[in-house]
Amino acid sequence: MPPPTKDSGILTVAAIRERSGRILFNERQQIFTLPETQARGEIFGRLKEALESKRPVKAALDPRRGLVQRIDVPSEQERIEFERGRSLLDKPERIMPVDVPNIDPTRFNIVDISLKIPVFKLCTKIVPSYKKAKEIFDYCAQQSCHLPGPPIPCIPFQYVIDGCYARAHQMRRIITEKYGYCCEKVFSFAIDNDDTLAVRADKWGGCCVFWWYHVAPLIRVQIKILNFSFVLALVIDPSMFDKPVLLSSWLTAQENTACAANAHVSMYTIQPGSAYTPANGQGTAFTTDPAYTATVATLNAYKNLTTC
Amino acid sequence: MENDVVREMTVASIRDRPEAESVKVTFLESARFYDLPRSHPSFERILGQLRQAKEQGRAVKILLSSLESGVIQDVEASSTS
Repeated sequence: MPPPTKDSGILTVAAIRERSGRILFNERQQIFTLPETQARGEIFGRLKEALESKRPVKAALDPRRGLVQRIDVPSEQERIEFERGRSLLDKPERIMPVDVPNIDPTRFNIVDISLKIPVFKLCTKIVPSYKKAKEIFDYCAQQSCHLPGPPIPCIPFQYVIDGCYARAHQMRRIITEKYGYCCEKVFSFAIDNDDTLAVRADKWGGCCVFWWYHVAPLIRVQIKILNFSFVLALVIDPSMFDKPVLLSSWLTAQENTACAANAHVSMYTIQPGSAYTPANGQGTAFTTDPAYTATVATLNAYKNLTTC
Repeated sequence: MENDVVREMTVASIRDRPEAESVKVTFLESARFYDLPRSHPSFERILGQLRQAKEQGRAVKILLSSLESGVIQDVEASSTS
């Protein structure tokens, strides 16, 4: 069936390719073009203004011809409804308090013992060995912006201060699309009292870095030792480590009391890989970035920054 | 300033400890802490704007001296709000 000739909605502009007159919307996969009519200039102006101000627009599209037919400013009510329903993660997992110094790593990291989380049932193709996990880690680390001739977009592991959400999402893309394995995200939060996450950026000069939350891809890895077989939760975080680390090690590193006396992980949560950033200050709602547009924008913005 | 940047962000929390030299502010769009120094000439106005934005769940435009700066220079209501 051919595409319809009419499509309208409240949309956000992902990009405007001025030379070709192509328009990308975050909520549509199709690339649209501007019409060769008198309205072209006005439509272009409104789209450009919306892109710069990050405001949604009310768009009338012709998907069959790939044309933007009309752009209007949404009413206040339309805008509020749009913002309310904007691509938040459906049914997030619960957030859990954690007492990091008293974690028993021999139990905490084993999926079938301590991490029976519903989200793990959504995907079953786990990483088959530590060797494969290390291969994934090394490939992600090789995408770093600080290395010569980095790919586009590169991943700014060298800028530990911010951007973990974009790094995590790009790595999630690699893990799921290049390698085809399940990938969840682990979020840590310092949201109680005066808590802070504090790490020493040993790979990037040794200064201390402080966050209110941190996120990285979490993979489940099948481990076989002699006759024993179990599944470990490992975290891929080349901004902090040189190899995949146990979930407990990842959390422990964020309580560096030499950096801050109040270094404390208040809570953590494991979410589907589609979770992008927190959508509130309590860690109970998450945004998504299904087209990786916000991800790439952040990766590019931070590619030349350094930590210490 | 030449390197000034404006980031549109949503306030996640405001930590106002009287003994601290600055108020710590977190935003949903960033993992780091941002400081609003008590010595800022417009401290009360900016803090008021941040508190109001948090209550209303509105994004605000945060003026920083550079992309990597964690010090809030000024705030203005977002055009989307």
